[in-house]
Amino acid sequence: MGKSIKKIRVTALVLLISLMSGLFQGCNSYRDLDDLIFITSVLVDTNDKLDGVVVYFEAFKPTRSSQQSANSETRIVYRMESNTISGAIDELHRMTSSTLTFSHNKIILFTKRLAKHGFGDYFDLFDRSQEFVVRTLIAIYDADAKIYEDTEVKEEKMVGLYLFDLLQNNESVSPMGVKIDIKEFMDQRLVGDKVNSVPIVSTYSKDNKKNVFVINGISLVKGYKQIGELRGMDPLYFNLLLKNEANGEIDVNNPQEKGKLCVLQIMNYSLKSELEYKDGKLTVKREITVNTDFSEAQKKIDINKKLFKQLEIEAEEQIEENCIKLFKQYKEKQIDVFDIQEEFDRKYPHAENKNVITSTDLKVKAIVNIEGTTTTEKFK
Amino acid sequence: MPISLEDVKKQLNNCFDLKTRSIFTTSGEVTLLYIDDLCNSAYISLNIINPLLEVTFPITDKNSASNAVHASSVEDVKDANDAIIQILSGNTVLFFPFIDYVMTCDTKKIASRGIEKTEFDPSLRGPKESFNEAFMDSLSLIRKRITSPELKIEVFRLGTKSQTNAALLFMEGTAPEELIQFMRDKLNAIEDEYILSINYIAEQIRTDNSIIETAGYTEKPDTVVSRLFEGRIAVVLNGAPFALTVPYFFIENFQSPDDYYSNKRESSFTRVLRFGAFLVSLLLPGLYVALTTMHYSLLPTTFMFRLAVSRAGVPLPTFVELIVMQLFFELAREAGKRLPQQIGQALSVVAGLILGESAVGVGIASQATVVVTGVYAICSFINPRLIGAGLAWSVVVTIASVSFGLHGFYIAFILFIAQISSLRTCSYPFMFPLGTVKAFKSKAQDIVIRGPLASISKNIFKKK
Repeated sequence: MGKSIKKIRVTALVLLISLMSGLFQGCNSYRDLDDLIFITSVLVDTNDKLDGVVVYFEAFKPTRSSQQSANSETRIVYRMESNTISGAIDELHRMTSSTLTFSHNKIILFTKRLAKHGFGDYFDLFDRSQEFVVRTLIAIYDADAKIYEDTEVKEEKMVGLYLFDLLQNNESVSPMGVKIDIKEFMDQRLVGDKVNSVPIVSTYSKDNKKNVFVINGISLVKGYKQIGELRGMDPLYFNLLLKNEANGEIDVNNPQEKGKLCVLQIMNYSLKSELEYKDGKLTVKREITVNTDFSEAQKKIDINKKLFKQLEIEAEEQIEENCIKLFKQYKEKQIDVFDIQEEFDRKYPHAENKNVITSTDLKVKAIVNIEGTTTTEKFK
Repeated sequence: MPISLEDVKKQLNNCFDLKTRSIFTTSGEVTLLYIDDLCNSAYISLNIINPLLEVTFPITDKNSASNAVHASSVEDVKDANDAIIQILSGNTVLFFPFIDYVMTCDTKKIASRGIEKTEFDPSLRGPKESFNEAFMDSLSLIRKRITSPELKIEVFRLGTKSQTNAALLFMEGTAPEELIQFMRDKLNAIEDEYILSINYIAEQIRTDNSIIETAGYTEKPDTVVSRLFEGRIAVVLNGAPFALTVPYFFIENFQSPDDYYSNKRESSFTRVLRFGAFLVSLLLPGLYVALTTMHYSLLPTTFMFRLAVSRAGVPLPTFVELIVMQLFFELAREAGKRLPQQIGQALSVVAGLILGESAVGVGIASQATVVVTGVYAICSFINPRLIGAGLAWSVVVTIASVSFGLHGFYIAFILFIAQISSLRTCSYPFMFPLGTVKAFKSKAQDIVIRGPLASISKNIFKKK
């Protein structure tokens, strides 16, 4: 009697576990790797009338050979036109022999044309669908879509993987850009100033189709719409003010050779921020301490303590001047790209000023330390 | 009732090797019965026949009969059956019909292997001796290591027909009394007609129907001795080159004799490796199937792309491919066990070619599956006592993984843990000392990490 009850219990337990497991993940999810097409990047563009979407899917497909050792990988770019992203994906499903998977999609690119128009209508699926993982990176694509379709990157066959690695590499990203994924984008969309900084991926040369992609700026996106761009050295000062990763260089005049430059390599830096709200006016004090390495001098230089001091002062002035200039530029446009509203709301949660940027003054104090130089001293 | 020579001879008729020798003494005719190929003929001639021929005193009772021979061991024979058992055991039975007395002399000389190097539990630095099939040799190998009157050896005759000698060994005062009684009861309860190997006894002791072994085997006398000192019980069987030790706990599968003969840190490291290897052999095939067929988003992208390229063109689903490769491997292993060593080497070359090269070449398997099977095989070899259980459960884990993905994988692993946790060995929990904090603390120095020998060499049943 006891044994039969035990048997029934065990059977019931096994059935229950099987049923529960089956509900979560069943045999119907079974796919062999070679029967899948892996999407590694997606480029979202719009048509000329700006009323539909053109989606480029970069896919990885393993291809078999009569000799298994000769199996290879193929990069296929599918171009789909539709009214929605889902429509484009449905179209794609109809023309591929294997099952599509977006689980290894590395990056979603929006063309600059679409970003300026606003990509809010085409973003929801990337956030909502289980297929798209939240760690997928986002970037603005500032080049011809044809290059994306036809390009051959020597370092990596798949553009998606190449851009993913490029954006993971701090030295590539900074000072010219930032790295942002879907999760961070969706968070920042709702916090403080609600402005997202998204890296801009461009081409190095329009004529050269080989190894062409570079990161050369930051797109400022608010409400899924590009509201500005930071180019040149601006991304460096932007990153310094926001305590983003910054690995760039600061060029200063060579005091011993007129018209020549010295280069200070940023090693690390720290930021102290202080807010003071008084009589409806907000004063933001940012103290940026930058540790640098003396990395290069044009023509000749005699290194000594006095020289270092001179260089430090010039670099400090340059940082302070450029940060203030950048801030004023966006203050005039009444766009808070430095997360000041967010900081303000945190410190003064009961203050009712919801557009504090208009009444904000920024005071920047830069402290530059030259910690050393490379092995060559007294270079002449 | 007097024992009749005719009755004994009648029961042993048709035994060509039964020898009968009559000796006429001054007191009367003495008849010797013995099996020629089990006895030492020279010893019989020298110590039984010669003294009887030269006896100068009258044989009038059993004392004078005993004095008439020079054999070292002499015993009375109780009845005809006893006489037959003595004869078939290699002893010589002497009939003294004129005084109605029958006695037996120990004249055994049974052919057996010498004491050879152990093969099942090889040890680099420890003793190399192993048991052979001779009962007394095996007992002597144990006895010579324990010079203590506390070592008790109880002998049982098992098998209604084979009458095989089995010895129950334990350290009095160290082994728990209830455990000793448990084993006595189990041995007494055996009703098989014949007992040919130690597994006949092990099957009686196993209380759970599981593929996982809950009785320990060893062919090393030093291992038996250490277990006896720990309070366990050993059984040695005539004709069996292995001794049985009970209770046998799960963690013993990961303990090797060399753990105790080498540096403790080195031993601990290799023991961690053994634990890891078992988990790999148990879980790797299932994890591989689950990750590559359902949860590919968890794999690093470049690795997954490489797997996908290597799989392109393989006609079999990953699951079938893996099972086929495992089957190939198990067939090769089974064939290797059965074949003589010289042919075995040729087999390993053929198996290596089939598994490693040709299967990939003809497209039956991808390189990744070959690697997974290879790693599984290597890891399963590391714990030879768990090969069968590891194979069976790894198939269960693989089937669960292919059916339900990682959910199935986890559930199968939990079922495995539940299964081994539910087992008992001689009424003790099989997972001891894992299970309770108290038990764990008492044995913590010899589970994964091997502690100092002075600390771990103690009675495991001793309650603090």
